[in-house]
Parts: sequence; C-alpha cells; structure tokens
Amino acid sequence: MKFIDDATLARIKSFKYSGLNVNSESLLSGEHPSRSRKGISQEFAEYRHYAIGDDTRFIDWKVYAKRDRLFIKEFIEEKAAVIHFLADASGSMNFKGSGAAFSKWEYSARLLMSLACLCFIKGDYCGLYCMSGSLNREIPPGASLKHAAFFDSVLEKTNPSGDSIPLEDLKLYVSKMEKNSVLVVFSDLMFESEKIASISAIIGTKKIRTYVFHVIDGFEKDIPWKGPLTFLDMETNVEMPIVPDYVRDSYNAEFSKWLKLCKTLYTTPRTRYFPAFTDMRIDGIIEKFITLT
Amino acid sequence: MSFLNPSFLWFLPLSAAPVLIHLLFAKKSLKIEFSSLFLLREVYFRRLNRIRISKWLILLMRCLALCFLLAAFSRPVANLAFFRNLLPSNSYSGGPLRVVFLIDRSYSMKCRFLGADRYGFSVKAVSAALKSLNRDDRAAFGFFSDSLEGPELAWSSDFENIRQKIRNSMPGSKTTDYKAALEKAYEFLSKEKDGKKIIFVASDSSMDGFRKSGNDLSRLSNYDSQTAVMGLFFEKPENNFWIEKIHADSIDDESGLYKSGSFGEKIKINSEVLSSTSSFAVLKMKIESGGAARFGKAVFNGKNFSILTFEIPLEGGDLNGKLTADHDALPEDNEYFYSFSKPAVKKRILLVWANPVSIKPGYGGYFIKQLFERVKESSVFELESMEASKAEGIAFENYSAVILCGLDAFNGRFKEKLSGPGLLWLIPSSVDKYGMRTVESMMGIKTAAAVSKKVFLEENKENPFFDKFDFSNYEVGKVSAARFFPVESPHAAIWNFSDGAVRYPALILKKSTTGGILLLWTSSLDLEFSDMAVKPVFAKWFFSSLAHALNMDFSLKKNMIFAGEKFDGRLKNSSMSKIEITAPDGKTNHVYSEGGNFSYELTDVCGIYRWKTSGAESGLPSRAVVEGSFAVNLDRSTGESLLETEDTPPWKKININDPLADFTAAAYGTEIWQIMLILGLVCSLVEFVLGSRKYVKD
Repeated sequence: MKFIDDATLARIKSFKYSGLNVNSESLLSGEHPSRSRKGISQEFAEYRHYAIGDDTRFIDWKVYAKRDRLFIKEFIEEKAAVIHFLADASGSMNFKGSGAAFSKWEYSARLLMSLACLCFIKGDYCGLYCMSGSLNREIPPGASLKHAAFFDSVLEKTNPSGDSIPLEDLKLYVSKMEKNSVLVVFSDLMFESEKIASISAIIGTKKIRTYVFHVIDGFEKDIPWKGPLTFLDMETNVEMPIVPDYVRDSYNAEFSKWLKLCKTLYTTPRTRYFPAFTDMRIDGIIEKFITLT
Repeated sequence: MSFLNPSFLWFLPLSAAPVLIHLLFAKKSLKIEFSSLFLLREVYFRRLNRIRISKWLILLMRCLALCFLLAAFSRPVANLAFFRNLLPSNSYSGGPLRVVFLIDRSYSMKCRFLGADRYGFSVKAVSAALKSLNRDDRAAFGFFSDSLEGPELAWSSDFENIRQKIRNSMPGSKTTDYKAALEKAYEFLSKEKDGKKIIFVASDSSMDGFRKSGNDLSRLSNYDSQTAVMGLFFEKPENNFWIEKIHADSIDDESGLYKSGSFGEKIKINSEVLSSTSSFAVLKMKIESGGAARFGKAVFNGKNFSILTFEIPLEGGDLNGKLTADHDALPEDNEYFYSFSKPAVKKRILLVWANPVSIKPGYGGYFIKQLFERVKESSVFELESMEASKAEGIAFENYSAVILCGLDAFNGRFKEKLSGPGLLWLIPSSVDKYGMRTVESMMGIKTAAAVSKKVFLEENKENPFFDKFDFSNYEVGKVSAARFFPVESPHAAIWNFSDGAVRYPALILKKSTTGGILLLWTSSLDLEFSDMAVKPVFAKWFFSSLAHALNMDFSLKKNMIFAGEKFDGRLKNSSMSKIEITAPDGKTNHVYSEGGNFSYELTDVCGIYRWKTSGAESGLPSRAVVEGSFAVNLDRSTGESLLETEDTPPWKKININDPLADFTAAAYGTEIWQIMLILGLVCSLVEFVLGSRKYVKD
C-alpha cells in the first residue's frame, strides 16, 4: 500500500486502543456496546420485570428466590461501529511547502490510512468518501483489513482538484449516515468562516460523533517567501501579486484568528478538533486521538 | 531664493530618476502556487492603500533626497530671518549688490504724519540702506514722479554724495507713475552682469502709480525676475480732503477764458471739494481775489461736500486768485488757483445772401449761421448776416471777412466792393451759371460746367498751417460731395477733393489780391449735393480754413494748466519779444515769442504765474508793456490726492519704522546649502525607515 507500510501497521497494532467510545446502532456485531440492551455479551446492563413472551433463559432465579418475583437479566449487546472517513479532495490539498515531506493530501491520506487500519483492527466498519467540487469517490463501509487496500487504492488514484467540500454533497452524505456512527474529516478548511460554520452545523444536525483533522502546511502559516510574488490560487486559479514581506505580520495574525475560529467551531461535546501540521509525526497525532477518544 | 551656482540646476531633472527606474525596471514577480488566497486576499486589500502610499512615499523621498543634493550643489541663498538666525552672519552671500534707488517726488510724498512728510521718511530709509552697503556694492539713483526725472542713471560708490543729493531734494507737484521709472531701472540693470540686482522704490506705493503698469511687474519691458524689488509702504491718513476743481459762470472750464459778460459785473465761483474719508466735517473755505478775501464753510455729510459759491466782482482785465480749504495731512491740494483772462477782440464776419433760400435749413447760409451760434471755436468771431440789398450800403472794410452765399443771385452786385481789403468767401449755390461767370472774372480762373461725381475731402498734409489743428478724432476722408465745379486756376488750392485715385482741385481756391483775399468754395453746401455741413468735422474744418485765410492762430489758449504742463501764451503782435515770467515762488525766467506765440515749461510750482513783455523789446510802436497771467494747479484727476496706497504692491514692503532690517533681509541672503544637505539626509533616512517597515499596524 502506498500510504501505509508494514512497519507503521505493526506500530498501530501495538497501540493500546480500546476502540471508539460509541454506542453503535449498526446491525453489525462488534466490539462497541449497542443502545439495545438485549444483546448477548458478558456485560450486565439491568434488571426488568418479566413479561410474557420473554425468553425464560434470562430469568434470574436467584432474585426470584429472594423476592418471589420474576426478573429478567439484560446484557449490553456489542456491535461493530461504522466509521466514515471523509477526505477533502479540493485543489488546495495538493499544496506542499518546500519544507514539508508530503503535500497536504499525501499527509491526509497517510493519517487516514493509519486511523482506518486502527479501526479495522478493532473490527469496526470503515467507509471512505473523497469529496471536492469536481470529484466524489466513495467506498462503502467494510471491516476487514483487505478493505484498507481499497482505501489506499482510491486515495492514490485521487488527484485533488476543484473547490472544497460542497455543502449539498456533504449534507446528503451526512443524512445517509446511521445515528451514532462516526465521521472523521480530513480537510485544510481553506474557506470562509461562513462555510466553516455551515459544515459544523450540517454535522451537528445528525448528532454524530465527529473528529476533524485540520491539515495545515507550515508554509501556509508563515508565508516565508521574499520579494514580489504572484500567488496562484490552487482551487480557483486566480492570480494575485503580493509582496509577502508587506503583509506577513497581518497575515499571521489573521491566520491565527482563523485557526482559533476553526478550533472553536469544531470543539463541541460531539466533535473533536485535531490540528495536523504536515511536519507533525503521524504517530503523535494518533496517540493524541487515542487519548482523547 | 537665489542660487550662486545655478548651472547645477540643469541637473535637477535627474531627481526624477527614481521614478523612471521604478517604471522602467520594475521587477517581474515569481509565480507560486498557493493553497487558497482567501486569507491573503483579505489582508492584502485591507493594506493595499497603505502599501501604495508607502511605495510612493519611498519614491518621493528618493527623489527629494536627490533634489536636495542637487540644490545643495547649486549653493542656494535664502533671505529669511530664520536662516540668518540659524547660520553664522558671515554667511551672507549673493555677491556685491547693485542697487537702483528710485525716489518718488510726486506730490503725495508731501503728506505729513508723525512730524515729517513721506518724503522725509523715504530719505531716511534710503540713507539707512546706503549706509549698509559695502565697499564692493554700487548704487544708482533717480527721482521720478510721472516719469524718471533728471540725469540718466549711473553707478556710483560715493554713497554719501547720493545721500546728500536725495536729502537736498523735495517733492514736486506731479503725479505718480511707476511704469516709466521701473522700466528705466530694469533697462539700466540689464546691462549689469554681476552682483545681486535690487530696485529700491522709495515711494508711498501710491495706488494711482499703478494705473499704467498694473500690479504686475512682469509686464514691464526689460523685466528680470532675478532683480529684487522692494518699496516703502505708508498708511492712508485719517483725514484727507481736497479741492477737486472750481467752476465759474461765464468762464470756459477748459481754457479759463471769458465766455461772455461785461466787466464790472460779479462772477460766481463754485468749489467742488472731495474727501477720501467718510466722517462728517465742516471745512472752512477762503477765496482771495484782488487783495480781498471772502470766507465760507463747506459741509461734508459723509458722502459729499456741499458746493460753496463765492461771488467775485469783475473789475476788467484778468482775474486771478486762489481758493483755500482748511489744511489737512496734504495742504497742497487744499489750494486751487485760478486765472481768468479777457479774450482777444472778436473778429467781425459778414454773411450776405441774395436768395432767402440760402439761409433755410439744408442750405449753405443756414449751416454757416448755425456754426457761428453754436460752436465753441466761434467765440473769437462775431457774425452778422444780412440780405444783399441791405448790404449794399455797408463798408466791407469794417469786416475781417465777408461770405457771399449763393453767387447766382448777386448778378455782379458788389463788384466794386470786391477790390477792397479783406476776405471774401464765395459759396456757390446748386445751379450757379451767372454767379460763376462773375467769379471767373473776379478770380481770373476758368470753370467748367458743374460735375456730378461722388468725391471726398482729401486730408491736407501739405500745408503745415493745419498741423496745429487736431483732426485726430474726425474722419476727414468721409466728407463727400456729389457735385462740384472743376477749376483751371493758377491760384493755390487750400483743400482738394479726391475720389481715392484722382485729385480734383479744388475745394477751396485762394487768390491773394492787392486789396485782400478771395476764397472760392467750388462745391455747394446744399444737402442735396454735399454732406459736408452735417459732418462733425465740418466745424473744425471750417474754422481752421477761416483762421488760415485770416492768418490767425486759432488754437485754444489755456490760462489754467496742471503742474508740469507747458503754458502756451499769445501776444497781439507777431514780432519777436522777450517775455519775463515770474513764478509763484518769486523766481523769474525769460522766454522769447515767435510769431506772437511763446511757451513756458517750468511750471512745477503751483500758483499764479505772471508774465510781461519787456517794453523796449516788445516790438510794439508804443513800446507798451503787455502782460498776462496763468494759474498752475495740481492734477487731481489721477487720484493722487486720494493718498491711497496699494495694500499689495508688487514688491517687498519695507517697514518705514525699521527700513534697514527689511532692506538687509531682502537684499542679502544666507547660503543654506548645509540645510539642503541635511534635508537630503533626512529624506534618505525616512526612505530607509519606510523601506524597512514591516507594515504591522492596522
């Protein structure tokens, strides 16, 4: 696979990860507790009065002996979680500062693959959706590690282009997701604050757990170039002559404000925000992810 | 500001080099791909104006730095007190001075205040300026009023001598005109190549002095912007009034001659007083005439003075005197001198007609009569007119001239009278064959039949007699006739007709006889055949021709003139006489008359001038002394009496209280190349700071 090698896979396997803290409502059995407490597992949930038609196997005879009333013993059903990986495939994700090892897209893909493998190992079902103004590629959820190969193949074939995540597409995609499934977003969020807020709102309507990985190149933050330059917007192909020296400080301040805004909008009880600079170690980000989940 | 090394200023365009370099060698920017410009765009447009201003400011600073550097090499000299205080006094520069002092001698300089007159303050200011001059400096001076007076301007380093000459002079009676004096000064300075050139106008910046030049020196000939011009400035006095003019009944305002009236009667003299202030005033007036004085009061209501009338008895002969008003800052214009003269004995003219039609409107006799009744020039003549039958018993010798009007009706009448002395003026009628035969025999000429052709009066430039008559306001050539008698004559033609190409002699033909002069007017004065009589030029032309025939000096004599004007006097006889003229200040001068006329030009002092012929040399058989007088007054018409000064004269004002400080400030300068260098450095520093700014602050 291009975006994950055996050594990384081995390292991921070694992580002590108990899985995502979700109450899965999927029909797939797995390691995550289901909202339905009628499942078959070792974990006790609660007692309830016996009702006609209940399976007599679950009557707690010891309680009956003590109380002379029939009680049914219920257990938490364990099911597999469905995790949706959403990769922003807009043109801006192709940016690669001269100090970085990977472009933002490559970095996103590597991070995505690592996380996906982590989930596959735990038996979760993972799906992938590469989304931009000019392309949509989707892999439905699957649970085996072989599914990871499909992920890798799609990510490799995708050449980011066009605008960032179209809101209508996102709305449709989110609406199709089961309740309590997980959405993991990889994007540079390079768009106006209104759109950032709109995406946050769309995700919030479904009440799903969301993890946003904000992929940033260090050069985007510092614009370290000197002299007069013509900047070409990778999404819109618009050109603008700028002397970075003249605007750097103001830009840095504006960039910080923007980061803060992203962090504020994507840090809610159901959403977690992870800044991911392309010069950061992927392992470090995964460790942080595991710690916070 | 001036420059000691101005050739470096040619390099001044180099200071625009940064702009050119910026425009011609603008860097081509590298193109880089960037994820998204949405943040950059926002920041960039917010700072765009500031970035642009900073860019151009940097460019401006570069240009200014170069400009100041080049200016420093040009060695600029400023004359601001600030620089003199900043830099050592020995840094005065600008080369040796070449100063032309123009000293105003117009009568407004007599205006008194603070115990001295304006001229006194001028002398003080010029003396102070002369004292401050160095050994290498040169000065020239000239007096002026309405023109530059005295000798030509000349350089001198004997400043004490100049000071003495100015101090010994005093204001005259003429008005101010800066144009002539300044043009002379500019012309004089234009010959000078070295040194700093200065014109010091020791004048009161009198408003009327700018009538001709306006408030713009650059319109003067030989104007040089490098020449510094400075002048004194005086405030307008609080109270100022003057006698603008007087008017007397029966006296011609222009000539001062009696119009009519007999001696022994009273004459009314009205005074017109003006004021440049607006406060209520009562002015005491006094008129002195013939040793007696009369008093009156003129009341000023804030706008006009009441007109005061004095009645003076006429006792025959000339009437001289002066009208005086209360004294103010300028007493000279509160006096008005008058001299009214009895006119010469009038010449008698007889107009005779045979046909009554001749004196009806539209015919010759009518126009001749109208001329003598209405036209000013006729005041020296006395016209009598009568029908031919009545005139038969009249002695023609008693008349200076006889005009026969409509020759055909005479039929040879008066033939015997025509051989007598005097002038006979013959005017034909429209159809005049009998009359013309008489005329032919009288004049000894041959006339052809009347020619009907449109011809015009030809200007008479050949006869110098007519030069003294001013035809400049008349169009002689537009006088036309449609019918005339062509004449073959050995006699002189005084005026001719012309059709533009051919001359037709003659309009007036003159034949001198032993007894007198015969004049033939070869056209008719009927309106049907000539528009001559209704043209404005006719009166002038007629009386000048009459004067020519009678050998008169017909030009008007004026008995009242303005200071500086020439007085033209006339004697009764035409032989050469020596005339003694006594000015009001008691000085006497002599002139000689020629052809009965004499002129006198030394009329700077106002008052009554008296003249008389020396009996022994008068040339008269009786050796009688002929005497006369004339009055000289200030010319108030230019506005000099207003004493108003120009608030913004076209020169640097010099304060009369401290003229030396202002003169040195304007004349000298301080070399300020050091300051230019410092300014250049400051500009470079600012450019450096701006260039290294990070544009952080919003």
